[in-house]
Amino acid sequence: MISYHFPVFILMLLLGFAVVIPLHRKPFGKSFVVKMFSVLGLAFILAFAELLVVIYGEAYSYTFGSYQGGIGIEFLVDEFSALMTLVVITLSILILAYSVKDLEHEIASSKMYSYYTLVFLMLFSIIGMIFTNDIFNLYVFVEALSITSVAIIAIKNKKDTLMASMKYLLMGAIGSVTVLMGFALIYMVTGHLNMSLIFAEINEVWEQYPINILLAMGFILTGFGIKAAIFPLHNWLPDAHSSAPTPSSALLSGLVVKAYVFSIAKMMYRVIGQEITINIGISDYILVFAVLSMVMGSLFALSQTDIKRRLAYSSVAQIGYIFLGLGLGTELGLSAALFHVISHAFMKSALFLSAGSIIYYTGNRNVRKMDGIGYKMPITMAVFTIGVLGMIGIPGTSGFMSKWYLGLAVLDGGHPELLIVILLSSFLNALYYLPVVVSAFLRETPLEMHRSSLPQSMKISMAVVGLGSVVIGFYPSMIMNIIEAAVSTFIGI
Amino acid sequence: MNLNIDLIVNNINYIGAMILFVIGLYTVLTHPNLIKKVIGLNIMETAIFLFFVSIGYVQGAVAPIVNPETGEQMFVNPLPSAMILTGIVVAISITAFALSLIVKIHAAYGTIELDEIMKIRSVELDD
Amino acid sequence: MNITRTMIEVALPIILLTIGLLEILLIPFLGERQKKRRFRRVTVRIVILLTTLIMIVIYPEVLNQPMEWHIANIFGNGIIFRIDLLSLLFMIFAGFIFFVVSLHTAVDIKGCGRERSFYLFFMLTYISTIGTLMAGDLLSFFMFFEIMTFSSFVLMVHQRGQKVIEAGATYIYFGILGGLSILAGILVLSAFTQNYEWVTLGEKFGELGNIKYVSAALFIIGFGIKAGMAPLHHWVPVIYPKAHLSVNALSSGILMKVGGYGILRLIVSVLASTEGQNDVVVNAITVSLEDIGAIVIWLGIITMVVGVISALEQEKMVRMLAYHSVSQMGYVIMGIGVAAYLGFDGAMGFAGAFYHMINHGIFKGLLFLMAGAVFFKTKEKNMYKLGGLYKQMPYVATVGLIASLAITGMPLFNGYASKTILHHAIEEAHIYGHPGLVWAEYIFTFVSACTAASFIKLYSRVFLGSTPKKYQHLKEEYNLGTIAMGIMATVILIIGLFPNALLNHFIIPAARTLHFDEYFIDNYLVGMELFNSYDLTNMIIVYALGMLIYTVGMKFNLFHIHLPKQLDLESDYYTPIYQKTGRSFNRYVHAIENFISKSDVFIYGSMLLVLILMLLNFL
Repeated sequence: MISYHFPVFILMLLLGFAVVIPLHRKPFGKSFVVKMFSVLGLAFILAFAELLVVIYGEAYSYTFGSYQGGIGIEFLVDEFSALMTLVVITLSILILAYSVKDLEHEIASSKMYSYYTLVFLMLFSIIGMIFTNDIFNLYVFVEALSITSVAIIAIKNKKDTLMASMKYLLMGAIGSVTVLMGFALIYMVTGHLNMSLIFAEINEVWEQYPINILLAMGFILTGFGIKAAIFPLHNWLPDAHSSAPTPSSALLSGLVVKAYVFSIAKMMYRVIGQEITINIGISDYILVFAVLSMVMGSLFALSQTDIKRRLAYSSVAQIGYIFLGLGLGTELGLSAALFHVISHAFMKSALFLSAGSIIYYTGNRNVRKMDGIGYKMPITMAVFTIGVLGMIGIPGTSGFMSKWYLGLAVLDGGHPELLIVILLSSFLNALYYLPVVVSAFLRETPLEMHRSSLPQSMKISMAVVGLGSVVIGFYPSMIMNIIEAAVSTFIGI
Repeated sequence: MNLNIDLIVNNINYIGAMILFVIGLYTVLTHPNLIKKVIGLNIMETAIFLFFVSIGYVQGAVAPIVNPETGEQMFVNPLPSAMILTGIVVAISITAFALSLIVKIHAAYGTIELDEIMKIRSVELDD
Repeated sequence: MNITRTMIEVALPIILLTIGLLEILLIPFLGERQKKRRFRRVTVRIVILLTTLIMIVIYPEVLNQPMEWHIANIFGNGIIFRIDLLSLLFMIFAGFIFFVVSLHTAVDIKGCGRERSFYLFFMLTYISTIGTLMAGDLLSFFMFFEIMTFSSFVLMVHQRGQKVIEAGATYIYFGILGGLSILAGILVLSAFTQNYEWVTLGEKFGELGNIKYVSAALFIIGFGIKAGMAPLHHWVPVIYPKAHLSVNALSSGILMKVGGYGILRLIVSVLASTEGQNDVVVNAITVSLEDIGAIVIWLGIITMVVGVISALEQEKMVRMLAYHSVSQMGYVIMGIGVAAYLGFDGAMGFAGAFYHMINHGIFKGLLFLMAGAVFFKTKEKNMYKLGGLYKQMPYVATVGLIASLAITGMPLFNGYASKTILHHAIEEAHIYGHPGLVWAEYIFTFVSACTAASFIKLYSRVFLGSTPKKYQHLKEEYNLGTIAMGIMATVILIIGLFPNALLNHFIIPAARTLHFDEYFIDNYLVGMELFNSYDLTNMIIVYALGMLIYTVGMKFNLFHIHLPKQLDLESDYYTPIYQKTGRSFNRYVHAIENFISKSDVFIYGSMLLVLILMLLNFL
């Protein structure tokens, strides 16, 4: 098993650049942007090389400083981690390209450097969370992610932003503490911190100390559930994602929340293993909340008038889909959930970026007042429509393929009634997204005002994100093959 | 009473940690004052640290410093203490960040009681 | 010659779709000035004509065996296109209707503005309809079906007023619901059969067990919404009055038929799956088909009755025609039901349904075009306020007469043949099947009579009698729309005079390839004597009854009885529900949202508690 250093290179690159940013003296300008994108481009190349290495080779584990797993920290590089890293870096390139022009209107110019520092630290923690194979290392990255993701909301100094970020911080901190309690309980009985070693031990320990494991899973699920916005614990999400600056919303909705969901998947399948998960009924527990998320998230979205709040509630519903896939407990379910992670990242970023462009151009956030925008901003509304069609589930977009896979997984897992819930949720999605598209294209414009015209960089980045979503919709097999290979290692190792 | 006094005394650390956890949780979630919420968060985290450290304790063992003279001995597990150091750093960063946010909220709203902030916000939203 | 042949053999669907796509890409650029606009309209018509001709050309090929094309690697499983006789006739028919309607758009759409988007979506609907009919596997079928729904929605709301868009919302939501229902059916089937082609879906159908009823029900609901089957027909009378009449002709003419085609295709694939299977499996399949068929027959009957009774009450021409569309599709659905019910002997039902879909497309399209011409001149939609227009608009009156006679089933017009075949079909159903279906036959006759009465009412109110003052100066206009109406009227007459031609060239070969019983086809369908005395007397009974209903209705003013306000489904049931649920919904949602925001304690604590208790159960 040859071990390549790519993961560490990517992480060190991001962390190094994050540390270097505050040293810039000159005001925010072109030279910085060039530097930033060259770093990101390098990271992209590294991530792509990583993906190729893992696909054509095999999954490998990377140890730090040649200390073996139980003593040192270990990164497990499997196909899905490499793919997810590539998606994270691609989306962040596009979103940061968008943000260069957009943030001038949203945050003070003295804070631009701080913003990018935080974004790079955030990327560092997300990629760390994806790769890591050690539960305490996971906790450290979770905390780093927690703080930086709150910071990129709070950097916009408005009243509602501050309150929303406070709420997010407090609830996130409660979540982290709960998770740590869960980790403590697991450490107590198994004595290891490395996920693979815990998995090896867990079957014997299960006989002796069942209550400990159960309590641990309970705490971990609730804690990560707060951060990943499962239904009743989701209240921080609408405020946080809607009042944040647009690139932050896109990053949060598209990447951050998914990282937490992925951690839950890791805990369920890699640490305590599939059999115990199904035996003690965690899957059914998650299923109940997933169904509630899917339906209630869409129902709440129906009555919102602010477009970003509507998108945020829609995120809650879509994350419910991912939990549905996780909660089925089968391999097909896990692959469908992971596919939806990637497809929703693209679609939601496209939606948030185009919503941000609308707000940038017209200064208006109210959904009822978006008549006739489609003719003024054709590219923006085209990207928005692609996102909407994906959410409803029209073939040709990635959203349809993820609904297809989820439907098959649900039927395969023996819960055919959930198919009705998936389709009901798609219908509710149509109910609150279509009126926006219809009024944008098919009604006349009452007002003529616009604030400033849309810069090219924003248009191009939005278009590429939308295009990515369509490409995944037409050729899902390139991603699905990788995911299926990954799932077998995931559940096996 | 099925409950053995010995059981409680031996495990007093864990029970104490759990009680502190619940107290901290209750404080975070119910007190309207933001600073008290942060204090509650700190209490919760202290509870966890207590829990963690007491995991590592082995009865009748010595501090984990290898002394070549005394030879093989039972050591207290050093790993949880190391993890707690990390945890303390994390707790401090979260507290610092939360406190700076509270300063900003005070500048923006004029108050740090949650009910009053909610009232101001609902007035704004209804406009 | 050889090159064209190989090209056709290799990539015909791609050619058809590409021609359409090229036109779509061309349309936005053909722009603003008058000459260019005409150029654009002409290109649209030429493209449709061209593709229709290509489809006619491949008829001899398809007669031998169905043609298939596989395109791999898209959508994870590849797309399959499959043209057999059933789809070929529909494709040619679709091309014909689109061509004629595109001629008529010169009347409706020309001055109306935003032509570019209209023609763009017109072409998009065209290629998606062709794609739906050509699709060989369920996934691409679903994709083209959804594209068709969305692009036809844009056509329907072309008038862009507030009320039009509200009505359009009903159309698109019903459409999406139908699409999702079909998707559910596809998913259920695929999960159990691991395969997506129409052909193999039939194969495994027999082995499935009760799940196939669920899947069949989902398909029937989905296609039924598209076809206007009761009780899901609500969208038809809501959107038809608000859309342009060319679009109505299009929707009634071909889009509803896609729904009927879907159900037909389902039944036929299931029958086809019996090839080469042993007796037990064949038996299981026919039994399940019988159950499905019985339900579909009764759904068709209900649709017929609901449609025609509501149509009798209407005063506005377009709404009446809309309800008649629903009713006539009920005939078709009933025919499909008979085909399923009788299984291998169901060739009569199949032929009737198929024939009636084609005929209905033609005469209903013509009726809408006629109503369009009348509305364009008089600006009046209420038929009671018109009258005596045969003097001012003789041409329109003639084609209107032809269409009305066709829809009521007068011999020598095309409706007669299809209604007779359907009548035979329902007779067989109660002879060979359950005797309770004899009521179905009586209802069939009754509905035909009501249709006759309704059209007597329409024609006499609009064209006969005396002309009100304000319309006396109208002069008729001759333009492309008249040519369109003329073409359709001619086709009606041709099919009416030579009904067996269509039967022999298309329907019977289709029935043969689809595994209907050969003996049955040879004895009953080939060379069917449609002008025999039994059927003619039936028609006389129908007309007599129709005249009776008409005179009784006019005398006692029955036609103005509306159901009491509380029962009138449309505006007094659905709309208040929408409004009230909308308002209270928002209030409830805000209340719940506030509750959740304020009770973090409760939620967090209870969730943790529930989880731990549930987990502790496992000890």
